[in-house]
Amino acid sequence: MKPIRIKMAHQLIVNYGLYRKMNIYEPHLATFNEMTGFHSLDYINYIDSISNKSDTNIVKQCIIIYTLFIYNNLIKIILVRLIVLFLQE
Amino acid sequence: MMNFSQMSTGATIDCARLISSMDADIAINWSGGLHHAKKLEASGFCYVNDIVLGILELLKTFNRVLYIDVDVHHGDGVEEAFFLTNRVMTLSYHRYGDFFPGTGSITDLGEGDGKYYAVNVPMKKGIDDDNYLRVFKSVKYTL
Repeated sequence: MKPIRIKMAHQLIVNYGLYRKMNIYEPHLATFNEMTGFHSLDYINYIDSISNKSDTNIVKQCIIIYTLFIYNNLIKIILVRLIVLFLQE
Repeated sequence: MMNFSQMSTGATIDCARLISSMDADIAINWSGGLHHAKKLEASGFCYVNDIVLGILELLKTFNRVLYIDVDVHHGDGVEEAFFLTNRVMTLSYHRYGDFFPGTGSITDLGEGDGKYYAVNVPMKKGIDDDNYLRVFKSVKYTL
């Protein structure tokens, strides 16, 4: 998932007027319990631990990039915008 | 990272719940679809497989689920998760042959109880809309 894609998705949804025909929900944050329904606990713990680390080794190994951070914020902004648009309708 | 995974996964699970409770006929998570993530590893920009978790949520209510994947890459994470069960049929249309993730041969059909419940439609690059639609419809209706 790249930030540009969510931006594009947002523009398409708005410009085609799709949001007028939809209900928009704010998702809950999935819990550890929910995620371990499929993934192993170790793996989820690992993902959680690297969130707070700036270990370059890990960053090199995985494709965890700073754009994820931007992406997170973007997604929030888009969500808020969609909700505002929805309420205006 | 964790926050992103939680949002993306939470949204898909919410979608599944909306459908299970009949509050919606169609539910979309625009930021979901991380179909390459495996039980123990991240792969292809996918970290937590929200689809598998969403399907598991649906299985609490419904007996069977059909999963259709129209991404250009093979949906290997989801196929792998439900390879051995006949409660979930996975159908993936993808580009195949020297292309990420390299799985999704037409001969991969599932194993055990899940035999014939994993369907792969490998394609070469350069297919146009009309042909894609024809393949998509013919395979879907056959199933």
